[in-house]
Amino acid sequence: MSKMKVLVRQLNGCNRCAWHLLALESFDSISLIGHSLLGNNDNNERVDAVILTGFATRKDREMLEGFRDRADLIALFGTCPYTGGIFGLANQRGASVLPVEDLIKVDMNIAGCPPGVGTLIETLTKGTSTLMSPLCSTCNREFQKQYLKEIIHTPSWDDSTTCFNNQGLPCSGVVSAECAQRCIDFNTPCRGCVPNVNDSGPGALGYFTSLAGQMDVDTKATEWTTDMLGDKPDEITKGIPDVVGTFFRYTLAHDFKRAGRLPTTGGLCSDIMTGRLIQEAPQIAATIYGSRGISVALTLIEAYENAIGVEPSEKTREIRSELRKIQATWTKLERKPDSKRFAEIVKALKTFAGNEVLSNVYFSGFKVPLKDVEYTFDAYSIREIDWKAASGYAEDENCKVSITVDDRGIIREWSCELR
Amino acid sequence: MIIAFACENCAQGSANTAGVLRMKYDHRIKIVRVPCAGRVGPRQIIEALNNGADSVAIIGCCFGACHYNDGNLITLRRVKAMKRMFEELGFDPDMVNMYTARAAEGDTIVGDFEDMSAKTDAMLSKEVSNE
Repeated sequence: MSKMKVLVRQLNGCNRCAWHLLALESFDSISLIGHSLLGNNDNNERVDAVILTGFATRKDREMLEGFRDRADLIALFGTCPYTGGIFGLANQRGASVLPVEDLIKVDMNIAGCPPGVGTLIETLTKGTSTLMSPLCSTCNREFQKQYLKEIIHTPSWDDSTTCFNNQGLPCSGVVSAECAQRCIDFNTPCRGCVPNVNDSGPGALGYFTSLAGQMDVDTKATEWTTDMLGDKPDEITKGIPDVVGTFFRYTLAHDFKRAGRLPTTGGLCSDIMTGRLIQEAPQIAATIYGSRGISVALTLIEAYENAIGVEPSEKTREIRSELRKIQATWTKLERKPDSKRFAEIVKALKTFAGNEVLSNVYFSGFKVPLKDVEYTFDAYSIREIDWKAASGYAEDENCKVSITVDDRGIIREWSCELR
Repeated sequence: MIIAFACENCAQGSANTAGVLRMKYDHRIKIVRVPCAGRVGPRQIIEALNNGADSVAIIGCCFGACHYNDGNLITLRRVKAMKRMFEELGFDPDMVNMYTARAAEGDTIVGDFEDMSAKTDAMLSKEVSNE
């Protein structure tokens, strides 16, 4: 059987998916013609498949049309090219992040943040996208049909059996498919990186607000003797302070086609971080900062801990320093990308942080017990955190982070300087 | 264009009564008949806006009078969250509104219609002055 000629191109955004695709080198059925991380050795020859990672903008149209002309098959790897991904949140502040499908015809997509290379190979061999099972069908938590009493922003840490939505914490599992990261295993609600339905953001919002159908909502009487919805803050607006970041985290560019009108803060990543809930910030930072995500997420956590005066335990610090060692190895690897050594990094990350978007890493400690760590869980578990308005600063060898959080838990100012 | 999702019980009934009484309303309002206000959620609202609507309104039965028990009350919460979402995106929260009407009184829905066109006008003129 002849080898499939494959070209891998990273568009914009973080390059984590491109790192995963380095592994294509080791498959016998694939001949890797070019890869963004391995330098440009592409001589415009005809290829069997172009695999795109990262989000698109209007500027990429010409390049993408070129790929369409010279490839039999265009495959999207990761949620960014599929729906705009997490970078679509920058559209809130007027950016023009687009799904690739808005610019050219696409043959298959493998969503995930990041997805598994195995799924890509399976899809390429089969020729069509595989139907994934819904996330809820693989979740151990139990759903009871009842209305919510309150909306919360952190799960109850010792409850691993009640559905997040039942607890009052929005979870997009109902509109999502099973993924490679499985945040739900780390006491972290799903934010829908693998949409299972066409308009997953509005679907998840509709689902959760229906569950909130008995919470206090402001109404007012009209002059023409009827009632209507009021404008005053109520339990709904207080309970969900960041609707866009919660329900549309990976799909804003796909679901809502108008560019947002908030003023930009000056950078793509700071546009995404500003306006998010502090409770959700570590995972968002770990995602958008790509190969520096570990460092930024840890520094952000330390900045807020400094600001509110929380001291993490000694064991927590030790595990965090292990994570920083992983970051250092990755940073060194950037000079000479190598798939085998990257696989070791991913394995180490899964040991110390749960998954690649650091779902287990949190303020003051870790959410669930780590495998292969000899200390008892009490030594590094989460402590009581008093979420309050604060400004903090922290730095490490990779970045300087300063953060301002308001009394509703929303990040108002964010700056992250990468070194 | 303003899309008004009208429930087929009270809101559509009220619109019929208003029609019999030859009452007038803004020609920009397009009524979409739905079985219940509870049938409308973020999906339908966003689809209308993505396809060029200036604003969206949902009209249901009066509180406590929903023919499907509490469909109108559930949609109230959905619309409230959507108002918050539009604010977060830098749009006017009046891009989506929720009203009620009574089938026997045509002037209730005409009052709703007048309010939604006044709100949409205010929203559009603010947008023009910002540009």
